[in-house]
Amino acid sequence: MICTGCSCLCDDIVIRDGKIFHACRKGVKHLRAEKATPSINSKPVSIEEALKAAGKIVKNANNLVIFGLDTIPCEAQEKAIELAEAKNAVIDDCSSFCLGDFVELILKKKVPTATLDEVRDKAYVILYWGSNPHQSLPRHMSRFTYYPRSGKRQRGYEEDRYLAVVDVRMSETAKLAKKGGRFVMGNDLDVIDSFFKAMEGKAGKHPEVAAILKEMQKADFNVIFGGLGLRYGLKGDYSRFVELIEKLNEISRVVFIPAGFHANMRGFNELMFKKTGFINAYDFSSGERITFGEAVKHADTALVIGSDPVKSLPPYIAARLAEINTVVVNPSQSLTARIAKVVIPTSISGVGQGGTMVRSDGLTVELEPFEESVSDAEVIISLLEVV
Amino acid sequence: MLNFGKFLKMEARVVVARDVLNEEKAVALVSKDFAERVSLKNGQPLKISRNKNSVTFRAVISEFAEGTDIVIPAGFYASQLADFNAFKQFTASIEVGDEVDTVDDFMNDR
Repeated sequence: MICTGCSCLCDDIVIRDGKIFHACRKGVKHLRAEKATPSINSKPVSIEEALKAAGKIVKNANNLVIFGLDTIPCEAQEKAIELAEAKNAVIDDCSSFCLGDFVELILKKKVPTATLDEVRDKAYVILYWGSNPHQSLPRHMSRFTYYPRSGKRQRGYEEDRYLAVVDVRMSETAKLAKKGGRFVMGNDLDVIDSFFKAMEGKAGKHPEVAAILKEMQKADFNVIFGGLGLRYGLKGDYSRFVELIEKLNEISRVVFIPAGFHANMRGFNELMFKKTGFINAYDFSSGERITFGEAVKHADTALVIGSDPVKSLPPYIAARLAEINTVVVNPSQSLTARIAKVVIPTSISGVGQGGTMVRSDGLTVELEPFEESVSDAEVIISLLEVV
Repeated sequence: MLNFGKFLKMEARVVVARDVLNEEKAVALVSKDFAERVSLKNGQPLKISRNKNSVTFRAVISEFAEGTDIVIPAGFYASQLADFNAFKQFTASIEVGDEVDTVDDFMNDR
């Protein structure tokens, strides 16, 4: 089966006799999460009753915001976008504060990219920038980047890969890079500046980047994985980083892939981009951009699908969700479910519901469910039917 | 050497990072340098405050906080302190705490 625990979408997971094989600890946690129960005002009800109550709330909503969606299949995301359009609602996902900006750079063709399979077969310098795959994508390095012996890189990490890390602190991945590659600890803008200086033959604040450049020149395929650390380090202005990638491509081929997000965040970004020209945070009533963090302040109803904003977003959002009519559609018992008016449990994507997802590199992956259960698409279709 | 305590607050640079094993615990990784600077001991409750919100973590001296002062796992506790302008890094005030917080301490107030 395909694990939908993160954007690696590992396709070699086996579940036999209740045991999970090959999954990382993040995947196991995702697959073993405590199941949500249908409820209205925290009281257990049948799923039909929960669906009926949710339908009534969504139908009567004057100012609806739909949020989450990154862990559900594209087919369900499409229905959620349809629902947002039908209700003139705001729709957003985690990418507006996660790595959506990087996906946008790729969709607008501002940076060259590649698939993870190409990285596995060809990449020499593997630079994780503001990303710690050891924690965020635990099998990224073993399946696609540093460890595999594949294609032109048959001698694996011992001789055929060069690991580099840029981060503001010593992470597990940085510790590994320190051993056989290069770890640059510092502010992202200073490191970018040091790369430019090194290309001019001068020493910047981080002269050690020259060693990374030298290694890049040895190969015809190198990759930079950008994480949340880089995204926030650039403070919303990506021009200097885009310029750096262009300049690096004058000395060797360097591609860029965002690293570290929910299973189908990219799927949502691609669907939204095609539909609206925006990758996320869209208000169907005005045609303008507005994030969930802003929209929730004015909303009277929130439909949270496949996400737990009470866990991952600032506390004012939890307070607001507790005040308004919040409907949660999620496989597991989340903190947001604890404050919701209505909770509708669905199955885990890839376990009890199929469809497609888009991996972090843009590859479309068909899920392989092995049991049938309530899908997110079914729930959203039932809401669409009543509005 | 400064000795911080209940009545002495200090400033610290805090980084929010993924930590699969600790994401549901109020654990703060503290760099050895910073712990020495403020005489903080392993396991000590550490109250981190920012923008009128505070969370008390259990301090763990760790090499994975080297380069900054404190690293806290992304998740519920970090969300109490971070905001959209400082999602990954911020400056916060720290002092010795009493009891380490739990999710229920916050959720029961809602």
